Amino acid sequence: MSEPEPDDDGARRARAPLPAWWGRAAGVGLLALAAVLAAMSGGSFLSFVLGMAGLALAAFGASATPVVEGELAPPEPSPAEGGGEDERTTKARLALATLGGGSLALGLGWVGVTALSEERAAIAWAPVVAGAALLVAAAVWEASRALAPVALRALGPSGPTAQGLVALGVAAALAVQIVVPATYYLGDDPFDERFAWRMFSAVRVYRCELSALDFDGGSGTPVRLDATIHAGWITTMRRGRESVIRRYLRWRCEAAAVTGARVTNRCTTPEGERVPDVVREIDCASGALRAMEIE
Amino acid sequence: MKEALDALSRRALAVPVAAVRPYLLLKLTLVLLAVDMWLTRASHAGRYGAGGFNVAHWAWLDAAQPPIEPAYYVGACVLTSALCLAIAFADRPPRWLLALACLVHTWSWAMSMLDSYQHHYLLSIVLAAMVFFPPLRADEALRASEAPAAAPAAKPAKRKKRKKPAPDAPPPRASGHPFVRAWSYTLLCASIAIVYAYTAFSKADPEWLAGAALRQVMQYPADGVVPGPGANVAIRTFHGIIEGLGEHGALFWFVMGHSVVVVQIVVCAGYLLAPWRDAARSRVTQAFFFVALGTALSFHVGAELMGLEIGWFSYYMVGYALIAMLPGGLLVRVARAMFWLVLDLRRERDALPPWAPLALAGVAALALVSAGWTADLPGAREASVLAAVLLGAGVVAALLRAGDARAITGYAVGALLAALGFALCVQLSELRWDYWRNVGGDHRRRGEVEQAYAAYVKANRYAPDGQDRRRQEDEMRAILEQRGLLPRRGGR
Repeated sequence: MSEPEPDDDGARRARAPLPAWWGRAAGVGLLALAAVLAAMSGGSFLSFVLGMAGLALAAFGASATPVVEGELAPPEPSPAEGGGEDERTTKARLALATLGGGSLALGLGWVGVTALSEERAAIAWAPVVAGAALLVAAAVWEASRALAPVALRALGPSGPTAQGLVALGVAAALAVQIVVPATYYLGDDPFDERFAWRMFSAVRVYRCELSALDFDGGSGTPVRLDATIHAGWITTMRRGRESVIRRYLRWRCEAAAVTGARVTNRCTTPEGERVPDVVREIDCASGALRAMEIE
Repeated sequence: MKEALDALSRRALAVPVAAVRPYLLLKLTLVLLAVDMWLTRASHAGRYGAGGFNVAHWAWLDAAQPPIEPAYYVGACVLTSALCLAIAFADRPPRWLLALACLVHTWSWAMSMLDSYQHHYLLSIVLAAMVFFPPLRADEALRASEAPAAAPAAKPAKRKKRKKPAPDAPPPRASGHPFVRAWSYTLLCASIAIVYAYTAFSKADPEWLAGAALRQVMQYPADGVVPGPGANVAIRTFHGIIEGLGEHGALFWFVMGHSVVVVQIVVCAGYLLAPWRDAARSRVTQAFFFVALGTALSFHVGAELMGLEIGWFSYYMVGYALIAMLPGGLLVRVARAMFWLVLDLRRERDALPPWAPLALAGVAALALVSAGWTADLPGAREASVLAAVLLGAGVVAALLRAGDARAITGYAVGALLAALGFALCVQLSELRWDYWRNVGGDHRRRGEVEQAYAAYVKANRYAPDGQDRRRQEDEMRAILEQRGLLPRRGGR
């Protein structure tokens, strides 16, 4: 990326190439321009998009990444050269696969038995998952032990620094992708399913009725939500999205002449069982939010 | 440590994969996303910022972004599409341009929690990984260079000596197509595997396993097995099966609930193994890829048949499964058939006179601005002008870098197609009708009669036969006439 590149035909032109930093410098310039525009106009589509373009340019520069022209990947060392696996390793891999297969079979059998007896079988999935993971590990081990020579168009990272950075980057990216959904499953808000990969979950198919009240000193006045906010937000609040409900309550304090506001969500499960009403309210004077569950 | 890092890099992170896989994944994602933005997303723009209320996906974004309005959402959709198509047709797009497409697309869903479709979030992850894909032209991805082809010539003779392949024999080299070492491809496959893993985990919820949630998703009432009024042919087929089971009908839901979990685990394992698709030699592993592919296809095609409201998620996932799990040789043959025109035209490009790319870029910029100007959607003009300016900046950069604008040809072709595609979508689809009738309905509910009237007038201009909103338009007009804000009809 740092070297001046030939044009995309591979033919170098007589013109002196631009320095490698010009793209990043242009990116920083765009970022500054976006900041100035945002400061002058309070932010707009143009300033936001310019800011994003500046960020992308500053991060990656403007140069095109070169491609490797038909390089042959060096063959992996053969077993005779000491690069293959010995009998013990083969046995270990087979043992891993056998253990995985056994665990999978055991788990599936368990799930089947609980299915026939119509019991809930959540724990029976543990050996299924463990077995599948062991089998995948054995298959990856098998596939990666000696790779064939191939014609390459792009090489992987070379050198310990680049390899280390890539390994760290990939590990960090995967860790984030594992941790973000995990916070949902380990947290105490079952309704905010946004990043949990929980499509068509049991929570989402709850049937809920949403009602809202405004308070101006005395008793509450019912709010016609569909005449106040877009129907899309009503659906989101009906699904119990905490951050939207909180924002709505704060917004009522700012947008309407009220001393407090309340939202009540009354839900039933897909099987028709009623769950406790969830009530959230705000006191506009102090800004304090309160959540209650009422049986 | 050095050796361990090298082994990790060469055997796990940057395993050689057929170059056609990342190449097709990139093209498929960009083209599908461009059309997805026009056809399924832009029409929802009217709800953004309606009534002055909005919540972004993150509090910091609420603080950083300007107050959201429909024009911003339409603008983000149009700009993402133009960027995606320009990049899809470019020879070797620079990483920053892909990063920009990823950022604008991410902003399109993150600007408001009104868009909580999880596959929009997944597409941001996919685009982010693709920023680091090796940038390849069609000929580089689909045709092996001639120089190294003779290198592994000794292998067939080696194989003849043995009756069956020895466990340590290297796999036969896939001939005739190139490979890449791309850690970003491994990252992408692992990311998709994580999605399926969590989906499996979430479906291990007792209500899913018992089938109650699935029954609700498929519009079956909780107390019976009769399909609801919206049930389609797939659900009616299930109904037939359940009726055939008689008193064991409840077992059907139980088995269905459990089988969904197995399906997710199998597909997850398929994606975890996918980076080794071209390296695996075990026949069991090779066969498993077909099992995982069949499972993924049956799941996503089934979801479409059941009419689940998941946007274009199934199309993306069907494409990804095919590209990640079909044999590399087959993919290359299919891709060569699909891209023959590109491969042929690429050769002709060098014969173009120097003014031709400049003229093409000029036409594309003009087409972009015209498409945005005539769309009659807020924000489309600004976004199309911005896309045209970006194309112009690309021409200037190409001239500065190489003294020749030929490198801009692919971007110009993509931008021209983006302009034509957007214009066609606007003219032929119900995008404008959906947008303006929804805006009209929302203003009407909130008692904003003037805005509702203006929106209904536009909606009726684009209304399909028999679905117009004349009654609502007349109703709003009557109120405005009463208030003296509009002259009475015929009362001049």
